[in-house]
Order: sequence, then structure tokens, then C-alpha cells
Amino acid sequence: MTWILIDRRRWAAFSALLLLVGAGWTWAARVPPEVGSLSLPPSPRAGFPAPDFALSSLGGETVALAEQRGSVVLVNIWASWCGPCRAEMPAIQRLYEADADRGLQILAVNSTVQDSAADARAFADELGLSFPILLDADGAVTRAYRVQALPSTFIIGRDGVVRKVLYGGPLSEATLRAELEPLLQEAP
Amino acid sequence: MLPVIQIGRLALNAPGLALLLGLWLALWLAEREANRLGLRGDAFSAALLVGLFAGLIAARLAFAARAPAAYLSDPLALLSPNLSAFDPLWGALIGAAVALLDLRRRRVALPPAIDALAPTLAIMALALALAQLAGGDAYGAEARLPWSIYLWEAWRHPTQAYAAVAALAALGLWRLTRAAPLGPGGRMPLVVGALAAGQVLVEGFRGDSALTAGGLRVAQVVALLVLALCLWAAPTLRRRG
Repeated sequence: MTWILIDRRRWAAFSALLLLVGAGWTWAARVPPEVGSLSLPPSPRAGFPAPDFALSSLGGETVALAEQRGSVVLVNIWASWCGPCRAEMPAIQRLYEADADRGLQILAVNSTVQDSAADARAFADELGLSFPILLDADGAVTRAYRVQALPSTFIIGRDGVVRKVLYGGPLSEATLRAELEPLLQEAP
Repeated sequence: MLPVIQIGRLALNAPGLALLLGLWLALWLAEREANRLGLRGDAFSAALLVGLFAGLIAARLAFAARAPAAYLSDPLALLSPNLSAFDPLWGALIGAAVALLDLRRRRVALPPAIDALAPTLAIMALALALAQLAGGDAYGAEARLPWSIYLWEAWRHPTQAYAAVAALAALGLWRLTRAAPLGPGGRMPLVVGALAAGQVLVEGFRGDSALTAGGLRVAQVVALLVLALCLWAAPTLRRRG
């Protein structure tokens, strides 16, 4: 490398060649206009359409993610024995009370495959949670959202696209508010 | 992809861990390099640490600025250990500015200090690539190749691994040219240029590029301009005679 550096003409030739190859590759690697983010498969990842699911709630009715299109959705996957889940749930309840009428929907998915419906109900009653508590009895949503730690939180925009993934907790109300506020301000 | 390493009840954020290890290695190497270049290594590392803390504070405050009312009503949330609650761009800008100002305040000569920092950029680029591999970020375009990885419901180019190799190549270039007859500040454009060349190459395989006119990838265009600037600057910083 040094032999190129110490000779100005060699350096100039090397630079010109490198820039030419770089410009050629940049041109060759451009993305055709017909290829857009619309072709992305559903995946629990920011920028991808959120994987759809339909689960029974503690109240017995079935709630589907697809039905929430037009709302900003916070999917929180939790278990009753998980300390950080317990710690952050009151903040999520406060957000729901404050912003449900602005189009915020909370879907609290209990990872029932590693918990129990009875414990989930007791947890929700104790904390006075008023948003839908969904039961992932066979773990399908836990697997589809590749949950490796509890709690895991997925923030989904009004267009059904995952905007933010937050692994672990507890999350503060302010942190969640900072993530949600720009999405709530987007037009429905 | 392994965003979280679960050890019993302890959940470690793997990308954060990779960045932390990279930062530690980068600071160690920078201090060693500063001593080799005749700088006061202790003053140099102290300035870097000041910049690091300033950057962390700025990153958290910039994040909080997205919802100021929420943070004003709960100021303790500013101390939350959550790694998502940072604005990395503002953190990097403010951190770098504060570190430079502190280097001046401590009367550390700036051009050799910049040389001492050159390998840290390559180390941090390597750590970032490994963090992205752990978190599944900066993923590649779909491709069925013997070395493709299955990520986000498709077989893709392992662009994070390509980026790691490019960072290692930049580090190798820095090592090879340590004895080259470059004047003070001359090593930085070499390393930055190598990293920019790697970015031009790797970005072309990405599946999540931001695009500009004609479908060109923004990061490739920016990296190409940075590469041109570095190629122009490197010989002008050559030691005279």
C-alpha cells in the first residue's frame, strides 16, 4: 500500500480507478422503482408488516390485529410471573386511558403457553387493566413475534407496519410516550 | 440473530453488549496509539471519556425531546436503563464535538490525536456490524447463495458479515500503513476512505436501503462522496520530504 501512497501519479490512477468502480457499482446496485417495501413479508421487525393474529381475550371475544388497522397499536407480550412486565403495565394503562380516543390501541398478549389464564386474569384484575388481555394459549404469537425475553413490545403504525421493537423492560411511560407520540400525530 | 441473551432471569441486550465491548476495545487501542504517537495517553483517554458521557447525555436528551411533557412530568425516566431510549445521531455529533473541545482544553495536539482515533473507527464499525448481526438490523437483499442466512422470512445476503469483513479490512489497512510516510492527521482519511469504500460495496447488497432519485441508494452515494474526499485528502497530508 505504501508504494501507491508515496507516488502521486500512482495514487491518482488508483483513486480514479477506485472511484470509477465505486460509481459503476452504485449505478448497477440501484433499486428498480417497482421494488418497494410493499413486497416485504410480515415479520416482527421495524419496517415490515406486522404478522397478523387473532386471539381470545379474557372476556371471551376474539380480537384480531388486522381489525385495528387505522389505529396505532402497542402489542405487549407478557407473563404474570415476569417482574418487569408487572412494573411497566401501570404505565401502559395510563397511556391507554390518555390516548385511546386519539387512536391508541393496546393489545396485551399474555404468553399463556408459559403462564396460565387464571394467573393472567388475577394480574389484570389486580392492576385494573382495561385494555384487551389476549391469551396466547398455544404460543403461536409468542413464536411468530420471536419473543426471546419478556416483556417484548411491538409498536405498530396506523398502516399496520411495525415501527419499533422494544425488547425487555420495564419501559417508562415517558419512553413509550416518546415512541408513540409521532405515530399518534400521523393522520389516520 | 440473537437480540437477547437470556441467562436465568438476566436478559442481556446482545447488540448493546457488542457495542460496549467494541467501545472498550476502541478506547484501549486509542490510548495505546496515543502513547505511541507521543501524546499524553491519559489526557487523551480522559477527553474521550468526557466525550462519551456527553454523547450519552445528549442522546438521551434528544430522545426525550420527542415527548418533552412526558419527561418533564417524570424526570427520573431520563435515567431509565433502556437502550432504545437514545437518539444515536445527536449523541454521536455532540459527543464528538465535546471530545474535540476537551482535547483542545487539555492542550493535546489535534492532528496526531486524530491519527490515534483512526483505528477506533474501524473497531467501532466492526462492533456495529456484529451488533447488527445480533439484532437482525441492516439486513441484506434476498438471495439464494451457499452463504445466505435466513432472516426476516427470507434467505438473504449476510450484509452484516460483509460489513464486519470490510471493517476488518480497514483495520488491516491501518496496520499496514502505520509506518507509511504520512504527516500528522494523514491516517484518518485512509481509514475513513477504506470504511467508505466498504460501505459503497456492502450497501449494494442491502435489502433496507433508503433510496433517492433513480433508485440510487443514499448511503452508497454519500459513501462515494466521502471516499472521493478521502482519496483527495490522503496525499495532501503526506509528509513533506
